[in-house]
Amino acid sequence: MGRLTKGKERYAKPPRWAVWLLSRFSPPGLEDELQGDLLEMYTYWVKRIGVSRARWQYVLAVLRLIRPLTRKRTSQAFNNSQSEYSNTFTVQPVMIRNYLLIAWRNLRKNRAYAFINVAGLALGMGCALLIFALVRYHYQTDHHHRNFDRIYQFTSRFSSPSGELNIQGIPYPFGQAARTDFPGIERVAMLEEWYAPLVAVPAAKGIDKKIKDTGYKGAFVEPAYFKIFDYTWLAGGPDDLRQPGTVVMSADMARKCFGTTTRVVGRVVRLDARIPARVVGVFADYRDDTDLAYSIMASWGSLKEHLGARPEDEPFDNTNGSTHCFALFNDRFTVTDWNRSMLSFIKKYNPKQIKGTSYPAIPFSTMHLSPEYGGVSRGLLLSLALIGLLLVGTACINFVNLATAQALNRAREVGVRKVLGSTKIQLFWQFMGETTLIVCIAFMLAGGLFRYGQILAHTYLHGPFRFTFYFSLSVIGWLTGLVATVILLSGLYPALVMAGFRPVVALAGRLTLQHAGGFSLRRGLVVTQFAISQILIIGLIVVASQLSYVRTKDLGFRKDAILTVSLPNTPMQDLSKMSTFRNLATALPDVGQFSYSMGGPPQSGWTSQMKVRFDTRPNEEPYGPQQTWIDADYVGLYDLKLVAGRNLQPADTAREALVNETFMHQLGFSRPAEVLGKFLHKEGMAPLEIVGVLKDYNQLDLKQRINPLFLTTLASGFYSANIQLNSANYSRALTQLEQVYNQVYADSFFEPSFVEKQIQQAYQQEQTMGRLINFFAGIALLIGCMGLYGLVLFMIVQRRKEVGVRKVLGATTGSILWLFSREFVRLIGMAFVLAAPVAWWVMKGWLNNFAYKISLSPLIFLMALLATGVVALLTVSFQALKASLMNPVKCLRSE
Amino acid sequence: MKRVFLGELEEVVLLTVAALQESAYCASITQTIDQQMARSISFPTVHTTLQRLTEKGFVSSQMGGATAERGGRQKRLFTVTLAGQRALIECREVRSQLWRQIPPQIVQLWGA
Repeated sequence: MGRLTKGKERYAKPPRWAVWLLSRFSPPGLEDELQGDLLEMYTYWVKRIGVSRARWQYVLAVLRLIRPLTRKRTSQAFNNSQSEYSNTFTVQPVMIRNYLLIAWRNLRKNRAYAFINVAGLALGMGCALLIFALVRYHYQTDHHHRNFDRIYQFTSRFSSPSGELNIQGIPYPFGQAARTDFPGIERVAMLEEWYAPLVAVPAAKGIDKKIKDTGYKGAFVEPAYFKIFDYTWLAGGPDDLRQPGTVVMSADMARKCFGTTTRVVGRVVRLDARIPARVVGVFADYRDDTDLAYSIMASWGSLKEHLGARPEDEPFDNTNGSTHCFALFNDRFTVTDWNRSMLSFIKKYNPKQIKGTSYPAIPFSTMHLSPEYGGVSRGLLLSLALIGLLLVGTACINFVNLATAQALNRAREVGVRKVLGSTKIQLFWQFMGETTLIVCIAFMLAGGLFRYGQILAHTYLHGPFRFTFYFSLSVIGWLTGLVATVILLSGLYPALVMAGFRPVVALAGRLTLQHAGGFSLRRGLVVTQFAISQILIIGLIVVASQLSYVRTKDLGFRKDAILTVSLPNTPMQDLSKMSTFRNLATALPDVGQFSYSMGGPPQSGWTSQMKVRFDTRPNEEPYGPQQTWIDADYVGLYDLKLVAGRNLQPADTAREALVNETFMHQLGFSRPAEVLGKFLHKEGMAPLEIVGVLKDYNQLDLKQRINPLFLTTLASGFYSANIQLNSANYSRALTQLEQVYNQVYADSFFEPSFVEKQIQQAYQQEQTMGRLINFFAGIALLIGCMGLYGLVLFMIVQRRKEVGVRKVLGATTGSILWLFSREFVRLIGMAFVLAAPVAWWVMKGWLNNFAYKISLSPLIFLMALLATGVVALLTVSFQALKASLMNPVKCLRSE
Repeated sequence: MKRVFLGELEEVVLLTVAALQESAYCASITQTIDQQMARSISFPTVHTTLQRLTEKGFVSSQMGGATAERGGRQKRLFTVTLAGQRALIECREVRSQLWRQIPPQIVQLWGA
């Protein structure tokens, strides 16, 4: 009841905001009567047409009565008796047209100035857009799944006194165990990642079509996976994935396999080119902003054939990084419930390792931004965002610089406008409007730059640098915010300065740049801009020289003209097929030496460590040496140097071993003779006799030191064929090898790759970083030069008369050029003093990622100084030369 | 001298001002037109029309008393000026002249 009356009271009055609007914007002098009349009308309307329509009528009436929507004539009609002159209102339709016209004329008159302004802002905003897209991409990853907030991922945490290791991997039987013990968990789904999946499509006749792409990922999943994550099904569905020998794929993959997405369900493909699987569903292509980019997903039941073992039978203490487990929690079973019951769960299933192992459930939403699980670090995103802000900021300040430098040209206009009755506010809005015009043009250009940048990034950058935009309301809001901020930052100051000119001073031409803002601020700005450019340029040089060092350093083995071909991904290699392939390949005229090994070249991404016992020592060595399997030809093919002893004897099982010098030293010996003939003992393997000591070579990339290593012969563990080519005709050799390979391994995929290229792949991240720095250094330098240009323009305008007097008194062009350049040489010197220590510190930190690195020579710093100096002086002299060539009569005659 | 033209809306508003006499202000005029002529006319339109009439010199205005009903705000009261009276009379004359030109039998036929 009380509420009702209160409501009635509320409606007895017209909308308050409309009343306020009328009080604020009513035609001058008419507020009183209009308010009264409308109040009466409102009561009348309420009676006749009801409250809601009355309110509506009221609002409509107010909107039609307030300025600037009423015509000027109407509002002044009643005022004639009160005052002869009416107040002018800021926004007049006629004047707006005039402002636009003048703005357009100004842009056309000063084309160079307009171009620099627009280009600078466009560059800054374009970069901001790119960085925004990048940051947004990472914060929005996988957000489109409906249950996103409830999805958790079980992970493994191994704690030891030396530290904590977190991995995404989970034991194979984990999912089944969790389902059995905790029926309260809404969904649990296991997923095994399948890198570079090889799929064969049986052809009616001839050889099968094989599809393999390292850019793709596949997976083996349980059907519950599709209840946790959202997929759109074009045909079929995930339900049949319960049965082994089934597979679902993305539309893209279906097109790759069958050339179509229709009538694909029911057809058969062969996984790994051997396991037959029926297609039971086709889903729409996944979005780019996902970490679950699996193009083909086979049933969990097919995993045992893929791995050659039953995953459920695997022990709990075997954890593989590619095995993941997702869960959907709800109110009945929350993450707290899991944490509470985890200990008893581990006690039941993994009692041996209860001390050091736990399985925390991590919210899926945080995985993408957790570096420990291979995610992107927030720090990186933050620093990128900072760079973006910096670029926009400097672009805005450049605009301010240029605009105030040009302000004097507009002084007369301002003077005339003020004399004719313009108010300060009107002038302020006029100049703000002009800025808005320029910013809007720049924004459109920035959109184009953004598009171009996206394409560039797609071709040149890898890994986390994705710039895909998915439009939504917040994106539009952000873009509007960006434009508004840029308009405010760049327009506010010049508009205030120009609107504040005093007409007498402005019209008499006695205005100097003292009226247009301070000078030291501009200097400080240029110094900052150049310091940033110099830091980036130093970074650029350091990264480039380190990468070239890495490329050319002698790694201790031969790497040119050698390619590797991977053998089928099976648990045990077929020895007879291997020898057939070897015989056929070595018979080719282009093939030189040939060797099998576990992981390809001496420096490959493959590292496996195993604890061993040396000779008669009772305990295992405290460190795990790396191990790899090679055959007897390997040492010769890669030209590894033996320090002592002999090469391995050809054998298919592990009997003898080679060790590297580091291993020898780690064992506590300095002379090779002391280890030769001794044995290495390893669980599940016959004792290995050390027959030779190899000179150290970099078996890991140059970011890491050389580790202890031993090599032995174990033919069933070979996964690579290393082939040396002895002709320059690589393409012929490759075609022939492919034929031979397909002949022997019909169910595998011929995938040659050159050793030199493989080695470079370890530095892909560094190369990406180098390219990014390249890009930002270029932009920073460009924006810096624009700032410089603004400053020199400013100085020249200010010292026009001085230049004239100097010329009259006999100054040469060169001396005037120096007059202006001197200042900038000093500024760049100052910037360098700031930049050098920062760059030194940052790059030192970066180089520490490498165990083998270049030293930071002063030459690098000097080069950066020289580069910025030359560019800056070129920019300055363009305007300075113009000033020094000017006829002194022109600037002196007016006084 | 060219005669000042009186638009149809202006004529209606001017007539209403004349009819209401002392209590002719914008709100009352709007309400009268709304009720008596069964014609939907918006307040701002009347307001504008009154301004136009003022400009043409057909009405004059002065500020009048405030009532509680209107939140203690003053009203602007309108009266028809001499020129306004003349314009109205002239207007009526033109019309009746036209009416007279219609043959009587036809007027009878219309049932008027």
